Amino acid sequence: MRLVKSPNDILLAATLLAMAGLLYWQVSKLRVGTILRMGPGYMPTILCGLIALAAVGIIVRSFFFQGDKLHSWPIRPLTFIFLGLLSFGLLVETFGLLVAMPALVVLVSLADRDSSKGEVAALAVAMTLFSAGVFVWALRLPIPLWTAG
Amino acid sequence: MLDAFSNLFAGLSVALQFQNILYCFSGALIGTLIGVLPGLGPVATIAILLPVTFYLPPVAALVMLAGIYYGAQYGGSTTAILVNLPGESSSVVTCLDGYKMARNGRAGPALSIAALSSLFAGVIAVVLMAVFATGLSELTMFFGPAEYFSLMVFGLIAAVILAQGSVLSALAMVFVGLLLSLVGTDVSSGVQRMTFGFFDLSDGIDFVPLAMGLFAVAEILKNLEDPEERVVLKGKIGRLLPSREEFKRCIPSALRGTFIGSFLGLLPGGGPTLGSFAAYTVEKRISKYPQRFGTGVVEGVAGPEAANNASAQTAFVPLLTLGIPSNPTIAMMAGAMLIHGIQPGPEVMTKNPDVFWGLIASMLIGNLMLVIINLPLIGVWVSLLKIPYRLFYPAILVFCCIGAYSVNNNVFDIYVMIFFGIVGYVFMKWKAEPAPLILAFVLGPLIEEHFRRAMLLSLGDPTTFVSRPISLALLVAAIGLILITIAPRLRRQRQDA
Repeated sequence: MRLVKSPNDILLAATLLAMAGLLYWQVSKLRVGTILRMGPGYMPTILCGLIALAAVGIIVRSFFFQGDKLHSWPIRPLTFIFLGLLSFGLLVETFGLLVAMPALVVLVSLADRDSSKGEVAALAVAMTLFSAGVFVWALRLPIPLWTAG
Repeated sequence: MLDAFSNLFAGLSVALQFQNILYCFSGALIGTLIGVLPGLGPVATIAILLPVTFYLPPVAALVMLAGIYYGAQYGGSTTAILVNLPGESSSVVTCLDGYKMARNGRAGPALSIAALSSLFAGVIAVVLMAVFATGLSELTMFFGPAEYFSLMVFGLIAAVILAQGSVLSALAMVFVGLLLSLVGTDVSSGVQRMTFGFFDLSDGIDFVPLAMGLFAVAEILKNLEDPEERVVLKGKIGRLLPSREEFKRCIPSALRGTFIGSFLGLLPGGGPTLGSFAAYTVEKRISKYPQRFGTGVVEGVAGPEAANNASAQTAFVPLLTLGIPSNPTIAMMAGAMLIHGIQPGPEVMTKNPDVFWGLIASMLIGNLMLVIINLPLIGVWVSLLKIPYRLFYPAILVFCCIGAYSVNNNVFDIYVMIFFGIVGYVFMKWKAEPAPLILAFVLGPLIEEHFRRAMLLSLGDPTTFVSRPISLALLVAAIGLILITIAPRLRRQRQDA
C-alpha cells in the first residue's frame, strides 16, 4: 500500500502553497494594520494564510483518502491552444486582425488530431471575414484590421 | 403586493419598446444556441458578449444578457432529450427521463413538455420575482455591513458545497478567488497590491478575461482531451404535442418544480442546477410509481425543466435587491451592470426603476419568444448538433480573443485569459472547480469593504458578526451547510475503510 493515496492532491496543494507564498512575498512589505484600522496588507495576508492552511489540509487528506492515479497531461492540445492564443495577442496590434486571426485559427486547430488542411483553411478564412465584418465593421469595435505600412 | 403589479406593468411598457424586444429576441436566440451546444455555457457567452454591450443602453444590454441565461435553460433540454448529453449542467437530470422518452419514440412530446413547463415556470417566476423583490428590498433596511458580510460568507459556502469534488479544494478555490480580486490598487490607501510591477494590473484583474479563461479556454482544453460521443437520435421527432393524459400529469409537476426552483434560485449559491436536481428528487419521492422514473416518465421532465427556468430567473432577485450575485452567471450580470454604471443593490429599484422592472418584465416576453424559437425551429437546432467539435472550438476561441481584447483594447487581457485558461484547466484536472473561484472573485472587494465598515462601526470588535441576530443566523446556516455535507461523507469513508 502506498503511503500517499491521492498524489494529484499533493500537486494541487503544492501549487496552492507556491501561489500563497508568491503572493505573500508581494504583500509582505505592505502595512497590515489592526482589525479596526485595516491596512492594505490585512486581507491579503489573512487570505494567503487561509490558502496555505487549506493546502496543508489537502496534503493531510491525501494520506487518508483514496484518489486517482497521477494524471498524464495532453501535450498537443495544451501547446497549440497556448501558441494560438499567444500569437493572436502578439500579432493583433503589430500586424492587425487580418494576420492575427488566421494565425489563431490555424494554430488552435492543430490541437485536434482530426482536423484536415482544407477544412482549417476554410475555417480560417470564414472566421477572419466574419470577425472583420461583424466586430470591426458592423459593431465598430476598435480592433486594427491591417497595420502594415 | 398591488404595488408590485403596477410596477410590473410599468416595466412591461419598457420591455415592449421595439429596441428592447429586439435585444430580448437576440438574447433568447443566442441563449438557445449555446444551450443546445454542449461545451459553451452562459458564463463564457456573457463574458464574450459584454464588450459588445458597452455600446447599448443599459436596459437593452441587461435584457439581452438575461435572455441568454434563461434561454440556455430551454436549449439545454433539447440536447439532453435528443443526444443524452446535458447542453447545460442544469439539464443533467432531464437526460434521465427525457432521453428515455425520445428512445421510446416520444421525442416530440418530451421536447414540448420541456418547453411548455419552462414557459409556465417562467411566467409564474416573473410574478414571484416582483413579489419577492418588493419584500426583500424592505428587508434591506435591517441590513448593515455585518449582515452583508455574513450573507456573502453564506453564499460562498453554498457555492463550495455545490461544487463537485472535495469541500477542502473548493474552499481553497474561494480563498484564491478572494485573493485575486484584491490585486491592483487598494481603494482606501492607494497602494498597489500584488501587481508584480505590471502597470496593466494596477486596475486589478479584469473579470471578463478571467471568466473566459476559466470557463471557455479551460473547458475547451478539457473537451479536447476526452472528446464526448455525440449520437444524435435517428429518425423523425414526430408529433410535438403530448397526449391529453400526459398533459394532465405534467401540470402538478411543473407547478411544484416552479415553486422549488423559484425558492432555490433566491438562495445565495443556488441556481438552475440545484433547482433541477431538487425538483427531480421531489417528483420521484412523491410519485405513486417511483420505480418507473428513469424509463421515460413525463413528470421527470416537467418538474426539473420548470425548476431550472424558474431559478434562472429568481436568481436575479438577490442581485437586484441586495447587490449579491448568487452564482457565476449572475456574477457576470453584476459585472454588466457595473459597466453600465448601475451599482447592483437596493438602489436599483429606486434609482433605476426602468432597468429593474423592465428587466423583470422582459422575461415574460423572452419566455414566449423562447417557446416559438425552440419548438417549431427544433430541426435547425438539431442540425447544429451535427457540427463537429473541431470546427466549433476554434470559433469559440476567436470570440474569446476578440472579447478579451475589446474590454480595454489591451492585449494584456488576452494574456490574462491564456494564463487563467491553463490554470483553470490544471485545477479542473485536480478536481478543484472554477465556479467558487469566480464567485469569490466578484464578491471579494465587497467582502473586504463590508468587513472594514463592520469593524469601524463596532470599534474593532469581531463579535459584532455573532451578536447581531440576522448575521448570526446566516453564519449558523453556513456552518450547518458544511456539517450536512461533511458528515455523511466521513461516515461513508469510514465504512469503505
